[in-house]
Amino acid sequence: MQFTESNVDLIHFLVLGAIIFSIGLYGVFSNRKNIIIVFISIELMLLAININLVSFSVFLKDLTGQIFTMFILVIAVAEVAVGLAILVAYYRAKGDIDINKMNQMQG
Amino acid sequence: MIAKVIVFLPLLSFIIVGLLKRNFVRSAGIIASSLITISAVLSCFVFYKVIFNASIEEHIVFSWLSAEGLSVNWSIYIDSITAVMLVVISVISALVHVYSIGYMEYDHNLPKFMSLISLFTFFMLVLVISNNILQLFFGWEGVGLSSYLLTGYWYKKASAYKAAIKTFLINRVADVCFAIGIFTIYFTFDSLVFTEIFKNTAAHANDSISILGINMRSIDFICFMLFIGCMGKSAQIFFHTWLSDSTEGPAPVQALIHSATMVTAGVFLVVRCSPLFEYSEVALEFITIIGAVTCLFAATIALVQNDIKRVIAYSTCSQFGYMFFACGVSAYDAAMFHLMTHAFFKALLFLGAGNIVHAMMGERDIRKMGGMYEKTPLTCFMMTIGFLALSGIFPFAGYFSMNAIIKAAYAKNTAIGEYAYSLGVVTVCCTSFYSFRLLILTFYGSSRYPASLSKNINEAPLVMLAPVSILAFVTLFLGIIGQYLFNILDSGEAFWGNAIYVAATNNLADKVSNLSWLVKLSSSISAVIGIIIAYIFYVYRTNVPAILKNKFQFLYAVLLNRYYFDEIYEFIFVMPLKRGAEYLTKLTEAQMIDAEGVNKFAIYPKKCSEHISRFQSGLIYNYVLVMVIGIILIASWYFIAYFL
Amino acid sequence: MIIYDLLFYVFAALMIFSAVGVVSVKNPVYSVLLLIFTFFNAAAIFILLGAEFLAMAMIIVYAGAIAVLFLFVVMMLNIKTSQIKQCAISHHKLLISVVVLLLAELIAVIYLSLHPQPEIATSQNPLIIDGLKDNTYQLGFVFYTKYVYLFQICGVILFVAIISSIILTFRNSKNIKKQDINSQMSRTKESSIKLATIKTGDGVNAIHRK
Repeated sequence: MQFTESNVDLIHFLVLGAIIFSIGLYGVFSNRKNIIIVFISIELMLLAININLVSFSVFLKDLTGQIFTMFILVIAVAEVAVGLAILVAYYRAKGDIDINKMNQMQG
Repeated sequence: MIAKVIVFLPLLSFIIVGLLKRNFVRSAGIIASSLITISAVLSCFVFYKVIFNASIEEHIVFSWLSAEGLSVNWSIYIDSITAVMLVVISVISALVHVYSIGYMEYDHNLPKFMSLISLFTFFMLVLVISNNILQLFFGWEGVGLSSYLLTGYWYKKASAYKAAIKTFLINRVADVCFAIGIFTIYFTFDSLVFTEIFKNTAAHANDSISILGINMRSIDFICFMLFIGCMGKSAQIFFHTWLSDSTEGPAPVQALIHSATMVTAGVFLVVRCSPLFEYSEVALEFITIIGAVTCLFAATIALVQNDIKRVIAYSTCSQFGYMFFACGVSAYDAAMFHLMTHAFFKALLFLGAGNIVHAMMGERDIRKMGGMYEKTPLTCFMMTIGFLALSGIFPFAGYFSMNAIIKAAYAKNTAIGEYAYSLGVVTVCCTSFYSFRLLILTFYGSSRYPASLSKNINEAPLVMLAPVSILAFVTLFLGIIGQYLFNILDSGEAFWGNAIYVAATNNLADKVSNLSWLVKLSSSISAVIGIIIAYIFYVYRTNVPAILKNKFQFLYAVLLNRYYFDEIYEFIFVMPLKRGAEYLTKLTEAQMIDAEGVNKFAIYPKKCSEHISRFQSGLIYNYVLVMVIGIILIASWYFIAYFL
Repeated sequence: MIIYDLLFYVFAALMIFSAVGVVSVKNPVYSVLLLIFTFFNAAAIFILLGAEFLAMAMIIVYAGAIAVLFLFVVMMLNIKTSQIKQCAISHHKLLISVVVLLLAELIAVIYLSLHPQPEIATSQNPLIIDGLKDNTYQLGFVFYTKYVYLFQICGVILFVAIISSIILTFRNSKNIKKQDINSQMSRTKESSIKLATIKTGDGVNAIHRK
């Protein structure tokens, strides 16, 4: 953790987080294949946020960021579990997980 | 204090009875009648106090308007004219309340009827006790409203509600002129309170005012406008068409409103404003002419009508013509006396007619009646008394008052006065003719109603007979009491106090007593002539009417159709307005406003929402895309704000 | 130190490439595997930062549980790659431009907010990172004292997630034969055994006729 002489600054980590976030976001709305990719992209976004939080906590020498990251971890797990359960139930009902057919909320 | 009780008891009755449901028939009748009877008794007491102690009661009940320069209050002002009117209104109202318990027994909603006639009584009382012309106007409008409600009481019948609307509209047209009169009074006198106006009349006697470029004396204009209001209210010629249609209402309504109270408001106004009218000879001449013409006009119509109530309604119209031309010749006391006696015997006649109609199960055509003397003797007797009073036979009530009016007309000694006199005498003849025609055709002779009806015809119940008999009793003796006991006519000042003002030049008291005996008896002579003619036509040689009808067919048709006034008014006023309204409805409402304006405005949101709902595709990635675009926009807003 | 920067750039580049791969490969199984690779790279970056407990937690939880769950579901749902129609994504340029715009704004925000230096926590704050103790110790020290309620609630959340997944996916098969002990034990002789005398040669079917 002694990087007093390194050139890697907080900004680099934050930019890295921003890039990963954008990639995840791109995955959410540019995928027309199936819905698993959407879930995976959401996980990518959460990862980017974690990087953000941890880098802030380290550079500001405040433990709050890491604690919050732990909680985000827990929530992500719960969300994936429930989301995938819903997906499985949906698949059993519809037989197909084509994202273009999931438009029951239209209108 | 007592005056407040007199005025507010009818209002209380209106509220209490108006809240009762329609099955509380008995209690509604008892409550309303007793409250109004208390009011009547108290009015008699007030009458005694005011007349014999010559006191004027005046106090302010509540303040109303207090604008810059204009201050009007709800007030009570009782002088001799008001006291007389109070007695007339409340006694007849009480009797009508009792009568309607019996007459409207099987009606669908008796409490509503009782509350409406109580409301009417309240408005009329407010009208007569006011000390300013604005409160009088309030009462004026209120009685117009109640008359509308009561005439259209059986509103499910088309003829009834049309008659009600006609009543209200004609009154309204006259009221516009009345209102203009009020404005001009304020403009000229700077006050609306009677006492102040009358004090200042002499000072403003020569003020002139310019209306639509025509210069005239303010007082002339004021009196004209006020009188036009009275013409509407008291059904004088040109404004009379509503009176005969108003017989669509129940008989108690006619007895109360159209004989004794509402139509007397016009005469009351003229007498009350006698100081004003005395300064305007033009207005007085106008009143005389109108009154005399109406008198004869209505009487001629009544000669040939076949509906029992319409005959009596036209007779009312004609009698008010008498009262007005009495005012026109400055015989205000005679006018008030005639008002009083007329109220009682006209109410008697209407209630008696109600008895007959009730007994005949709603039949009103006198050609289908006859021989009712055997079936309804008491009513026959009392109606005979009423008609004798109407014809002016000694010693019934009408004799004294009508005689006084006719004598005053002659004593005036002007051309107009003589014109009025001659019309008045001829009208007495017509009056007695149609009265006795009605009597003979209805009560005497052989029966013309179908035999199946005969076993159901019986005399009216006591609750309906009692008021009629009280009225008959009063009619018998009121004339004598008035003339000899109260000295209403001869003593002028002693009875009326300062309430009636007669200009010195117009004072006819001396001239009246110096008339020749022929003039004094002229009305009685013509009345007897009328009775004889009626007897000949309908008892002695019954084919004469039919022969006359055939010979003078055109004249008969004109009279039967009431000089075609209804048709003329329909043509001049009603149809153009209706056509215009229909045209405007089609043009502006349907086309311009509905199609172009409102509908387009209504379709627009629908179309917008159809466009917008395409955003809701149901697909998740679209929603996320829109969210992200939103975030980007918000962030760029802040950036722009930051960099600028 | 150069090695430090180098490691950072290497891991960052690998992470970005694998993330791009996650969203663009056709086979969903490859997607998940690339996701696991991304997680590993992220863990390495965390270790570089000095938050080693979080790195390990990420590997265990994300890569070990979540990604495996994804894999299970992908394989269970049996998505065949041949079924996936390879349609060109509509409004491709719009999407790319939106993402690039968002990225640009994020970076702009980062630069703008960090140039006035944010303040570093003072020593009174109990959450300050102490250079002498390790990450695990410090996290534990804070978790079980200051945030213990939140910690327990996390447990409850996970419990609720378990229950909800079970309820959503549990299927009661109707044609599975199961044992119902109570009805087995409550059988009586009269309801289960029927004695019949059969003449020789009739066969068992005679019982039904009687």
